[in-house]
Amino acid sequence: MTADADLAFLSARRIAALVRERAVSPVEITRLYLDRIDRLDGELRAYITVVPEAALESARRAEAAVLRGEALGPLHGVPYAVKDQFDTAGVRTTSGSRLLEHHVPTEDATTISRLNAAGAILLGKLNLTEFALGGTQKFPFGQPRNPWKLDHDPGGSSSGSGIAVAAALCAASLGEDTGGSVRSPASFCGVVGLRPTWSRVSRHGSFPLSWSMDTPGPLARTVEDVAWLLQAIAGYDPKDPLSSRAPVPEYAKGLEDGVRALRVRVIRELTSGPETDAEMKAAVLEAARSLERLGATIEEISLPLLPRAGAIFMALADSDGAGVHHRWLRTRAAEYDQGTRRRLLTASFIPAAIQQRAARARALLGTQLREALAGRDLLLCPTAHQAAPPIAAGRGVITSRHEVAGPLLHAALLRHARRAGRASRDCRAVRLHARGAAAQPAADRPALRRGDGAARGAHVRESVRMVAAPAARHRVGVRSGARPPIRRCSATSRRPPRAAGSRRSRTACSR
Amino acid sequence: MSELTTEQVGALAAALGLPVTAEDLVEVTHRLNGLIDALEPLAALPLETIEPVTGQAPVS
Repeated sequence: MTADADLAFLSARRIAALVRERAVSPVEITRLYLDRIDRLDGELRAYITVVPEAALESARRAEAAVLRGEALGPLHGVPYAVKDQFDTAGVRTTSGSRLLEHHVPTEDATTISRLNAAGAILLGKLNLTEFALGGTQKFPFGQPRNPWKLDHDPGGSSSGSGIAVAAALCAASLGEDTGGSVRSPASFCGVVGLRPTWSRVSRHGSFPLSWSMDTPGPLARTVEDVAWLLQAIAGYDPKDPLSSRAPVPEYAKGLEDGVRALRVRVIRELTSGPETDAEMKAAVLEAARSLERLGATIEEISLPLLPRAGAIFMALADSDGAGVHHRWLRTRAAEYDQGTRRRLLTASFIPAAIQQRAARARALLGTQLREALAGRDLLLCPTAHQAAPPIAAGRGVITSRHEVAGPLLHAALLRHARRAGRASRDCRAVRLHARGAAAQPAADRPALRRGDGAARGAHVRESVRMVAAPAARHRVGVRSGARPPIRRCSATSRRPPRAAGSRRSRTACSR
Repeated sequence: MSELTTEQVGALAAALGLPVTAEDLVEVTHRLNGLIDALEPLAALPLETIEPVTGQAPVS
């Protein structure tokens, strides 16, 4: 690795500290990431749109502020990128769809405004499954690829957000999570991802999927970075009437406190159930043992309804999505990706009685999860039932009703956190703990008052450099060490055949 | 619930004004039947007394 690469892989907080100390120029670090994007992203396809001129202009202003000795925001000079689901004034926002290929918002999403106000520098807009739904068969702006092994799935829907952080194409990123869309790419790409408690972060300016489940969430290379990103974006927003008015705690406070006396429950059905790969189970249990060695109390809990969470989710969230897209489904159906269109059409026909039954089951599941968390600090389970699968495994048509049930059961692993309306964390898979293991605090406020048990556990494991990811190593080609083995793109591979409107064809991307 | 046919799903689509190709219709019917299958076990749960609320309220 070169010195430049070492710099690119630094944590966002470390970059901010170096900028503050005048050891690194915001212009220098921004150029470094833009250069990496130019060299590597032709193959990875993390970005839909890159804004080099705007980024460098922001970086120059940031540098001038440093030199003038101005008060600096906590993320001053830190280059970041954002899922192309969030509005950015003057920069097109596609939501990963041809239908919005030319959509240029006039206002920033609240999350973007807040990150910019904290001093972060926007590099560009990141790839995602179409309309953040999942199941995209052909990505309109290029197939996003897992940087650890290019023919494997990077996770989604915030695919680019995971890739860009893992491959150091930015210092940190913002995703959005409805049913695992931050946690899945964090898991598959081996970075830290956080789904905040619903309502904690404003949804204003984010293309909706499900009003009661959507929440923006940060991805980064360290737990501390994620805490600071959440600090920047959390809090009441009058533009989102459902955002919380509760005071925002200090998320990084207590990260160094260790995990002694934390009370952890491992969810049996998701960790040891028949759908979970043996190596995933082993990795999660090893993570639990590590926490126990560090002083946490570990016990198992059974939640038999959880394996149904995937189906419950689809009955509710997909129905919400079908409502959002109904007009376009009637008038522009052919412009959708086949997978998106078929999923939304399916949701359009779900009987009301089934939907209501799912809504009741969701409420029951929420109660059961709250009871499971009573007197405990967090629940532990895998994020996914397996390591990142080959991209090809997600393609193809469904040819029988029986093929539907399996994916719904697998999806349950990502859905349960939302059922209880709680935050959940995907802790860095490769160096931190089991690939995709997620930890959930008992409740947002109490857990955070104690220093946030889940984040503390993750931070401790990260600090002591624990490695518990056999799945990651041999399934997706992760070697010892913490960086993906990215090849420099050849001149040919940097410019794959592209459809009209792809990011390279836009003036905003020409460099 | 008995298995829905492509004809029945096609009729639903027509009633909602949703254009569905023949290829889409086959897969959509499989998906719909599969989803209903997956939710069928919920019928055995004592859900009648549970309000079908989201359970979501802003953090207060």
